[in-house]
Amino acid sequence: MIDTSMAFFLLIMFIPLISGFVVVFIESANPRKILLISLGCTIICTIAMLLLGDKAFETGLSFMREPITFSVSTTPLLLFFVNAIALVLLILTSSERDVSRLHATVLNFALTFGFVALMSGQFMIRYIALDVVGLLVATSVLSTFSDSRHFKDFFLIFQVLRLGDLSLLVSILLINRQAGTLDITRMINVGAQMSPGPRAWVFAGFMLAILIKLAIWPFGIWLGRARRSTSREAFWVSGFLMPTLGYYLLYRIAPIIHASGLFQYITLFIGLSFAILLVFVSHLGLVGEYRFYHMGSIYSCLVLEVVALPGVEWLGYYFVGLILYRLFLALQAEFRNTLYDRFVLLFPFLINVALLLRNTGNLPFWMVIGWVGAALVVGFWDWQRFSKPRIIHGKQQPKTEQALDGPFFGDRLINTASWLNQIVENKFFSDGILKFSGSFVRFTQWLHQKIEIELFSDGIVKLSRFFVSVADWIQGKVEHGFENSWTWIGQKMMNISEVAWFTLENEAPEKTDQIVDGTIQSIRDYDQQVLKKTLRWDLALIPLFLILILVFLIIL
Amino acid sequence: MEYYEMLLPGITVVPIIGVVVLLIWRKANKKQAAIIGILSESVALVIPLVLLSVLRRNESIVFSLPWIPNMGVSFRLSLNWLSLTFLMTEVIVTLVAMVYSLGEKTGEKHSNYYYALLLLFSLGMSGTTLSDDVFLFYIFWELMLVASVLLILVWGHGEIRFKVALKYFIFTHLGSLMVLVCLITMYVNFGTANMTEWMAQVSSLPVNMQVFMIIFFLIGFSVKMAIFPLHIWLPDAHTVAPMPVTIILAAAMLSMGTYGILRFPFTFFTLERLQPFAIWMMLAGLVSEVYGALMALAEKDIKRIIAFSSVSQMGYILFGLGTLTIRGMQGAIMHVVYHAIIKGLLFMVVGILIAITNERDIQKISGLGFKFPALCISAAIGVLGISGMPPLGIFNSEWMIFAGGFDSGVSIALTVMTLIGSLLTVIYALRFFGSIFFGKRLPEDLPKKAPLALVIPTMAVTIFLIIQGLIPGPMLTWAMKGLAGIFGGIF
Repeated sequence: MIDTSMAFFLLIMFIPLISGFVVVFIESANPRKILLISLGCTIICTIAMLLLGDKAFETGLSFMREPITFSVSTTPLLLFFVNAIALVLLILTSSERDVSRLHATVLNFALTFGFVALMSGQFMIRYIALDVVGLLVATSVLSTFSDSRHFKDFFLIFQVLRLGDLSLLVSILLINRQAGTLDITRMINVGAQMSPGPRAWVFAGFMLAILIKLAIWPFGIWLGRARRSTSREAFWVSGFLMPTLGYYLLYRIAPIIHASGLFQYITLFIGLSFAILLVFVSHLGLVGEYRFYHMGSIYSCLVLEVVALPGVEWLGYYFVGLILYRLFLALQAEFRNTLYDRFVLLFPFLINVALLLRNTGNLPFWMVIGWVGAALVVGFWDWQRFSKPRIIHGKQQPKTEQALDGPFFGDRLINTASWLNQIVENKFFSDGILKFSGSFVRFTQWLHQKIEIELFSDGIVKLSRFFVSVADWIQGKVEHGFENSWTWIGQKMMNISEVAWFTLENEAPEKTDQIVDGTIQSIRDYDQQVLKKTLRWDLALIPLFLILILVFLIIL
Repeated sequence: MEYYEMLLPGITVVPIIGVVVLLIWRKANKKQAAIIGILSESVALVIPLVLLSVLRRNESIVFSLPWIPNMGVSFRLSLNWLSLTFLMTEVIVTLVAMVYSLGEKTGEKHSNYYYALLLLFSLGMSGTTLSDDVFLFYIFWELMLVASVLLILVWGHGEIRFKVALKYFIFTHLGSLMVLVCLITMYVNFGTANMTEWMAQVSSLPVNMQVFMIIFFLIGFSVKMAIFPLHIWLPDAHTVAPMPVTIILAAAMLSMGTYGILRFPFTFFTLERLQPFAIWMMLAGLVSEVYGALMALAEKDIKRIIAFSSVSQMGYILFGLGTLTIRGMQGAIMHVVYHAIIKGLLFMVVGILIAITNERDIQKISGLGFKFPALCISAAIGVLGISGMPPLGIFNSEWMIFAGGFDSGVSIALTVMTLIGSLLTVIYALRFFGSIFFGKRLPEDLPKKAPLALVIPTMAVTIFLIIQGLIPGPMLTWAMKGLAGIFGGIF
């Protein structure tokens, strides 16, 4: 029996899917309109489901002998709702009047599979949905067959996301071995209680998957490519949906992180170190296609810190704040508005601080210091990131303090004040800050050059070339080596058989022939020699004599 | 004798009738010969489908007729869930290859012999899977080899085919001889050729002899599976053989090695006896997976790329078998089936590409996506399929193989390496697809459309692949039931 909740659930799942197929198969259909209608229906159904409350669905279907279940709760619904709203805004504010058929299809399918990934109660179905969303992210950058650059981006995005999916699969299968089920809630409970060895693998698998899905530098190299190669609305799949799925995955596996102090520290450490490092790395990436990636990445690092600490009940709202932040980041590119996001960020920051205060007693001192430091650096950086490049790149001369002049101060004092102003204020503070900024810029340029470009961008290219050359080398040496070895063995066997054939089959008959010929010849020679000689009849008497002797012997 | 027992030998007899008709009808043109071949093979496909309902009631269907009573040899066939899975795979693959042949130039001369040999090739594989008598098994096993060698020798590409056919024959025959040594040893010890009777007696053999036989069986069948470094025959044979034969070689014949391992060492010996070999099989599987993928990445000949991908995929299967767990082996059996479909599809795509461009160098083919969208879709689905992209079939089998790896308890790291190693498959598969369908377009003198006779079966296989992936239930059940006789029925 289908109740109201289930009806809405099915509508959310199938409306975008059907819309996607309509866009694919009906050429006359307007992709933008269909997408907006599909989104409108989806948003209405999501609101209705939010009002109806939590619900669990047993579908009666199974995948690989495991029942397919869905569990609808406020957090994933809210995340889905905010994402859908973000997509509507991205489409409506886009300068492009049309949405391409490919992008409309990708977005429709992404809505369906994103929804399934958020609501699935069975881990393998969630994994499949995540995998499909990954494919859609990669597909969104394909717009033409003639330009192979698009395929190269597809290639890189798909590979990186697939690596994340495979590491996620490691964790799922390891927990499944112990739990004997694919039900997410039960699996997470079992995962939290596993023995340390397998649990470390589980944690590592989840962590790599999350770092990739949240596009945390340097695992988020795919996001920069996606931003560069696709339209703003199609970028929603990469910039919004995929990180949201990452956030929700993090939310679900939080009990596994909390089950071990070591995992908590590792998560905190990753968050802290990447956040601080990324502040430096992202310096030159603030403007341009990588800005969204870097800024989103910095805040995702802070998410890791939050999840590492107990207090998961707030996470859903925290994530909503971060998705909104991403939305403003994306909209800024269009409107050049730099103010909204500061207020949006306030909410996640407050939650970060509250969590820190609540957990201060449980954390080692260095962690608290590190956390505060990272938050300050990130916050400060984000707050003034739009003015800073102007100061640094604009090479503005700092304003010199006006020399004080007045009736109550003598020249000496004025001179002293001017000297102080020149030395302390000008040279030390203003120029010093400028020099420091210059050094900072050079340092970040160096870091950007060495790490971002040489290590990651060029490094990946070099690695790929190295990889291909290794493959070529192996092919040349090993494969051909095998080929040569087998050929050598074959050749040797051929030689042996040739020699054997020559010796036994060819030479032997010849020798036999020679022997036979020789024998015949010697017989002939003998015959000739014998026949040539004159017969000596006297010799014929010898047998006669012998017979006579024999006769005598018998008689006697 | 029940009616269904009488039907069973039909799977081997009908193709023989087809062969006889083809040999007598010398003037048959290609279409006529194809009709005879396809009809015979279709009947061979219908019979197991009819027997499916019977098999659901019984565990197996056996047909037995005395043959050489003095030697304890009989014409004994047995159909169970394990043999059914492999039988269906190879019959369907042969049928598809026969239909595909109609659009190919191969077999236009001496068509009757060509289709007769295809039927004999298929008969060899069907007989191998159905035989329950060791004499019969080995005859069919060698028939499979002889028929395929003749097909390469007569219809293969270039003068090199003589050398390649010889190499293929010698290598695979060496593997067969290793298997033969074991079969003779068992026959001498047990005094009967009935393989079912062997099961009860194997434990009476000395342990050393059992170990020796396991090693020989594994190496012997690994040659047929083309596991590194015993794969040396495969790339050349696959490249030189005409496309329909390549499809059968890659999609069906390779699976005979897997069947051999399941049918002999895994059926006759205990889990305890096989346990020491688990890690070696898993390692060999991992090496083969990675090596095959690397070679596919390095290759430039599109046919050889797909050929090396078989070495890699067989690595997954051996890994799954090596886990000695129910999920690993289920995954391996499913992988055989899914690999057959995908490999068939990819070789069909390659066949069309060669027909269109008359070119095999991947660097010289590009930008075909826009001009041949149907081909592009089939290739994309094949490539995503082999990359293990859900919901296409190989995803189902791969995760079961990996789950089996973790279940085995041998080494988590080894399974993680195999799992992450599957990323290499994604790399070579996408390189294959991207290089061919994206980039600068080729000159416009290409044909406007791909040959319909080749495209239709390719599209049919594409749809079949999608359906198989979406509905894995029946496949899983078959694979599950197929394991009933493994390790003395402990599953």
